[in-house]
Amino acid sequence: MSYIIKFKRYLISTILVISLLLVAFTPGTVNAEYPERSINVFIGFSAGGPTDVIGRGVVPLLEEELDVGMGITNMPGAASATAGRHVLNQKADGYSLFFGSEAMSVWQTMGINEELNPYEDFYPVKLVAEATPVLAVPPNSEFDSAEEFVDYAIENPGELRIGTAGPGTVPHVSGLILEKQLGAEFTFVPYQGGAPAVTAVMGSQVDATIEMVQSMVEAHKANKLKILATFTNEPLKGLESIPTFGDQFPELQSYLPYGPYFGLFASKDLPQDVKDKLESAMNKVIATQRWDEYCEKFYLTQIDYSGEEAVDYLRGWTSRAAWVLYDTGAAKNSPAEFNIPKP
Amino acid sequence: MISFTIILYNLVGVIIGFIMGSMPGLTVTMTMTLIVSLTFGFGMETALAFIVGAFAGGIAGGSLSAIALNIPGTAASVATTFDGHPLKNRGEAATALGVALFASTIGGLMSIVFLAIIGPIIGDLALSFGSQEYLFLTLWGLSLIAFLSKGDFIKGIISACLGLFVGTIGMDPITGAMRLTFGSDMLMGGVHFVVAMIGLFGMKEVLVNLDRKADFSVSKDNFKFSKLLPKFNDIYKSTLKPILWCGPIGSIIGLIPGTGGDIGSLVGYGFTKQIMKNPSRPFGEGAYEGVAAPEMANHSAMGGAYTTMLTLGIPGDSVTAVILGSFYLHGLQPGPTFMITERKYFYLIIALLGIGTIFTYLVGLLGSNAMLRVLSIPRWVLLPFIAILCVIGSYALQNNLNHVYMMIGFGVLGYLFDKAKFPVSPIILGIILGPIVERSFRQALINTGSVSSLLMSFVTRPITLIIIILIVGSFIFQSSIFGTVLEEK
Repeated sequence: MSYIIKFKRYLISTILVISLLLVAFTPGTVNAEYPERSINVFIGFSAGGPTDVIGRGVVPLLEEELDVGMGITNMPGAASATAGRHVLNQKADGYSLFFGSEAMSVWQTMGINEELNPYEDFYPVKLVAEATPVLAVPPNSEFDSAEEFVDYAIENPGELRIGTAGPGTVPHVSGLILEKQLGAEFTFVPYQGGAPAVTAVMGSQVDATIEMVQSMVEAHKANKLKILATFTNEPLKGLESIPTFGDQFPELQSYLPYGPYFGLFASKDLPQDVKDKLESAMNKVIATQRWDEYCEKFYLTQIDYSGEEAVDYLRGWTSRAAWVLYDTGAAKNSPAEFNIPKP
Repeated sequence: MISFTIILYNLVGVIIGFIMGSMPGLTVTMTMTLIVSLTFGFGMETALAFIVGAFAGGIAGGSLSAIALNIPGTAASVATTFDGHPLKNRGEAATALGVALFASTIGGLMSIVFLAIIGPIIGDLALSFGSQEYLFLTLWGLSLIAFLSKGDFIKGIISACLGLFVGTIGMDPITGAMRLTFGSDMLMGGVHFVVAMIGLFGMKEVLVNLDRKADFSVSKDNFKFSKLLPKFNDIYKSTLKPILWCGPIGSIIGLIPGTGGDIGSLVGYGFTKQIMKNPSRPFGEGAYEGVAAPEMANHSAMGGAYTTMLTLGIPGDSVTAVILGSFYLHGLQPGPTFMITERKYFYLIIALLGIGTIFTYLVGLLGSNAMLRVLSIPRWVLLPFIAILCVIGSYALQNNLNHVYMMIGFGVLGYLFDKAKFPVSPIILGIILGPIVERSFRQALINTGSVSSLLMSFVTRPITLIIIILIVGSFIFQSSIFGTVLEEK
């Protein structure tokens, strides 16, 4: 008997706590013109990473344009495919958005998520920025230019070790482009993300590291590492003294500028009026001076693609990355399986 | 940077940590996982203040229930029961608690000094820590499973292997291939150790307690405030002596990845027992030194654990593993570059630790009586509350419902392990350190090019060689002094 009483007590107390929490956290919902209530933006990487940093630059500006509250939810996992899948599983009403990046383009080829394609399953509201990877060596390195570095790698295949943020990431693919186009051969040492790879080059644990310029530039200025070249054809604004790969190796020019893209995505089943509303708001966002300043601060190249234009851009980007990965043997699946055309 | 708000958050953190830490079954690790999930919406500095405070309060809270109930509130207070409870039976509970609080404050302040001095030194060296160094540092941590398994070595090894196995699930760190995921989305991201921790420490405790019939027997003691205050008499003088060795021992043990206050306090106790020939009373019968030594050692371990976490980005113990996760979450990047780029946060953390330690002392003096009342909260209030916090904590980590399912799975596993008398801490150690060992080993192999040059690099890299010598040394040390502690238990 006392057991039953006890069980009841447990039950009652559980129900009380749960209902209290539900009351505290349930938002009111009203149906009216979009956007009526707060919008949730999902980011597939942890706070502090590049996708998160850029997303957190865009979302507050969009919040002002749309005049509703916008929350950011970090949902890391499976190279952002977990968050992407989550957004697609929500109602396609524009209240769950996805701030995505180039990782989407290798989901299929790297076997991370074989069902999701960035331009067939998502609607790209607006692609806003590109980042630039650079090649850097330790401060005391014998190499002073990208040419010396590449020449050495051609003469001594596999001897130079390049730290990357992990298999299939932009730094890895950038290095593979050098191998494929220039006939050099490197040993890639994958680290757990970009920060440890930068640390590794600063401590001379590897011969070089390829990472985004914004996470290297402070160390470069403090002489804790030497940036040899950027993966672009034109010099970067504010960093004109750093040579470009396109300038030094004309055979790379068709692959450059190579860098990750960032943009706002939604479910492709979004109603047309919601698409229009989001796109016009994003147009205003990227025209603001604050966005200009934000891009300058992080050395981001501004881009402005939406709709069909964005799909073309994504298709081109995906095909370049996927085929480089496949041709150099780093990919798990052939891009042909997913109808990804050769570049 | 230190504002009134931050100090207030620090104080609230201490109080909540103290309350939760003193509840039997709510370990510091568990307390911290729940506390961290409360801070998701906070700003970085307030979150830091709250988390750091809760850690300091949590360890001290553990001693309260160790002395009053003979149930260590946390694993780090196990050694405190050896002499703390006999003291209580002699009617000296208040003195014992007073000594414990005093000793832990001294130990805590010592460890902050240690962190302030050693932190920058290791920070300077941190860039020379390559894959080989990380490999041996984490292997060293793993080798201490012998200690966590509390006597039954085989069971400890089995638990640890399970942890290592769980650590291999998910994306291969070198090739990017998926391992052991059975094509399921749920397992692709691997098993997050915080989820496993919430399950194995929090949910398990709920299940174990549901199974138990008796409520906690709460002591009816009252601690007179005046009796808790430190006095300049022989008791306090004699308890100050162990600080000479307990401080350094605790701090150094805290430095080793995966080990912290729990091991620190046992070693501190064992060492004190070996060294002090004339304690106030024989050890185990209510020696004041026997209360002071483990308290000093486990608080000193805090500084060591923080040092490893901040400068190398490796969790010093399971609690700092949770704290490390929360730092990443709030945008701080502990690791080799932390001392270069975020030095001001290093000093902020030191300041907060100092303030938190003092707060803990005050809260302990003023609040111990009230805490004993809190301990008499009936379980039918407490358990559902903990269970729900476990669900919220695991969901809020990455807003992923799969984590809640995993957490419950680990809870059931923890319950079964508890029934079979298998230790669960080695599982966590395996999950946290296993992937670092694997990644470092394979990175080192890629970096050196061949097995023979890898083996050569173990001898030619000075820091690696030092760590290897330390590992060998710690094995020899374990076999003599550690052995006597284990026999006690």
